[in-house]
Amino acid sequence: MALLKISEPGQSQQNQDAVETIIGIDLGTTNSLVAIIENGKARLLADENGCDIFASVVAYDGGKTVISSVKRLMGKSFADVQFENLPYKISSEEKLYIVTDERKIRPEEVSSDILKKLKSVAEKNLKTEIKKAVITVPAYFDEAAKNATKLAANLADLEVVRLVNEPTAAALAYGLDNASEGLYCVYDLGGGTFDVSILKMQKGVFKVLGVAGDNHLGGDDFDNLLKNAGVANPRKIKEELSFSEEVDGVKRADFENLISEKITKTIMLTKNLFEDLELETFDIKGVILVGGSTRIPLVRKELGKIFGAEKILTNLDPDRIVAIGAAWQAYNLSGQGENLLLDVTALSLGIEMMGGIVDKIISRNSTIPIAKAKEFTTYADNQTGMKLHILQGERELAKDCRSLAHFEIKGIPPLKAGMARVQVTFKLDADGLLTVSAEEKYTGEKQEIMVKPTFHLDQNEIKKMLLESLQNSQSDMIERLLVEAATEATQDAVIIKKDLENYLGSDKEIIAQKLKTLEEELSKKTSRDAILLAQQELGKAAENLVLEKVNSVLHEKIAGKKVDEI
Amino acid sequence: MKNFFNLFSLPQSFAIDLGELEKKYHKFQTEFHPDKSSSADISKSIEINEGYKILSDDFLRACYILQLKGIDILHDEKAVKVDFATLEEQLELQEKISEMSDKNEMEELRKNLNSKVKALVSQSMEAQADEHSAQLLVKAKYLKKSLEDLKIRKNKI
Repeated sequence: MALLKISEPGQSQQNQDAVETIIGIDLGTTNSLVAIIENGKARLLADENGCDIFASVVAYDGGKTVISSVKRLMGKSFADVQFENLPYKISSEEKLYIVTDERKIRPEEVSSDILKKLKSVAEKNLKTEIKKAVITVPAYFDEAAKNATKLAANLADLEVVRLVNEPTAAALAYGLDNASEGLYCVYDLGGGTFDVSILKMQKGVFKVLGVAGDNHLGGDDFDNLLKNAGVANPRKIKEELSFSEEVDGVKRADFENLISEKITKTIMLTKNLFEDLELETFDIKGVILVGGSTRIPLVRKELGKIFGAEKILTNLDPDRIVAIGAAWQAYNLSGQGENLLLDVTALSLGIEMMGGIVDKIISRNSTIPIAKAKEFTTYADNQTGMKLHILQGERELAKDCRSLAHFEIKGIPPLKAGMARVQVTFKLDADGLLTVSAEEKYTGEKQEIMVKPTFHLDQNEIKKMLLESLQNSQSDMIERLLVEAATEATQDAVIIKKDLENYLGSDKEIIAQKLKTLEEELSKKTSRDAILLAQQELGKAAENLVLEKVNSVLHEKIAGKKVDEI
Repeated sequence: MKNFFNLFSLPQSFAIDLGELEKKYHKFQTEFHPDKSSSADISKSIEINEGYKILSDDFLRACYILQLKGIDILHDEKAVKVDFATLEEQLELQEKISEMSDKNEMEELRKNLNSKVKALVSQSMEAQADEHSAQLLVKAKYLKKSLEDLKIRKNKI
């Protein structure tokens, strides 16, 4: 007999949401996993062969091309990775593509194909459609890489409920399994990235005190070092060397010599983190190991030196713990769990000032969500604009930091130099994603942007990719998608309509025509495809208009004007 | 200006019960953190994070108490007049750090500066006049800057 459920009016919606399963995904460089919480226990989801660890590898061109380690390319430009040892060709355009014999593929597409596989494994196991996921990312992923991950999920038809830092997820899994209290250190050395973080666990609250790392250091590097030393089949040799002193003529001691510099770097980053947080290593109750590379005996030996061998928790499965943590956080976010995660941002955010110096607005290891405001003033009389160059990273000079976006403030009332007051606010949400807004205090004029890195995909490309991927999937979310498409298209229409007013190009008439078509589709709002098509057509027609806008921004950038010079 | 002591229902004084503060912080975030709250507005969670950060740190809490009294030594360069001897001392320290290369020596200096900062903060909170408190805190602020410089120097070597 079914039990009668009595709920307050207005709460039924909430209850329905509460039972929707959110899956936890560990989207790794080498392997990916998916897990859920069932009857209070974590369960990794396996495919029909009983396998619950899936290689992060996708085959294209009918199996002729196999792409691996795509996580290293997420959110990167060609310049970022051109000197890296990658097992495939990449295009030298600013926007990074992987080039195969038959096509060009964006890293996000590869990543979304991995996510589609995980989603389908989950759907087969749970016999229900899955729409939402918590996805883990390295703590040291920057804005671009996080946004790229979110986009990949969208392409796989998954809504990312939360991005969780990998070491934090691991700590959550460990803490819940062992009812731990106190300070713990997570040392996470994966295929492509290294993170170390320190957490305080206390009665269901997991507070990250700080994190450090390097998003370009991992097991792939060890493989490459072996390969460069002339070792064939380096990954296999590396893995077996963790359990024997010699494999196929390669001695463990020689391997340790090869990688010792990299390991020393991780140890130095770990020590520095303790110093930053004014903590001592003996305050730590245990060190949680994450990532396959932590099986390397040298790693455990070096960690034993700073923490004491008895603190190194070796009874955990370093390959599965992150996915289990992701599942617990998914469970929390579906309203069922009791735990609270308080995470930090791993990278500082700032603005370029005169002379190319970075003025930090939000400093690393701040608990998120966070907002910080800073006031700027005008440099010249009657200055009506200001340009902000937004940066991420710890270095003092803008050229050494990650450039995230250029943000232009317009419409400052013409006043004497130094009179106008523009308050710029940086806001990081619980995913660690940034929004920048500006307010002119004199007029109360407000502007806001979501920060997207400059080399990121533009809106039309995202839509094209979405469209392609959606045509391949058979979901029944047509209504929701229609509303979403219409909302986005409306925003586009409004912006272009406004820009068109002052536009003098010869193609003005055709843009106006395409705009009208889109507006008609939007008022009908019957076909999502028709809206997207009209929107795409408008996008194409308005290319010059947009280009003109971008050029004017670029021109100012090249002219080297700084925050308060315009 | 919002008062974080009120937010956490704590007396407006330097000596506060940090355990009590943490307990309330957890309680509030369990209600208002975006993971827990169904509201799209994250401003309350942001405010709680900011308040906790300031109140849980001795130096920031001391500065905040003065800020509530109208002396903002963290953001206003002209809030306190700094005597020449302090500036000179600071310049000498900076020069010393920029030339340091011995790791043990640097570690020694780090410990030394950390305990000096601690002492200055507690002295400042015992001082009778606010101006005197502010002066001691500015000294602590300078030493904290030197600690940052020291870290950068150490990583360069």
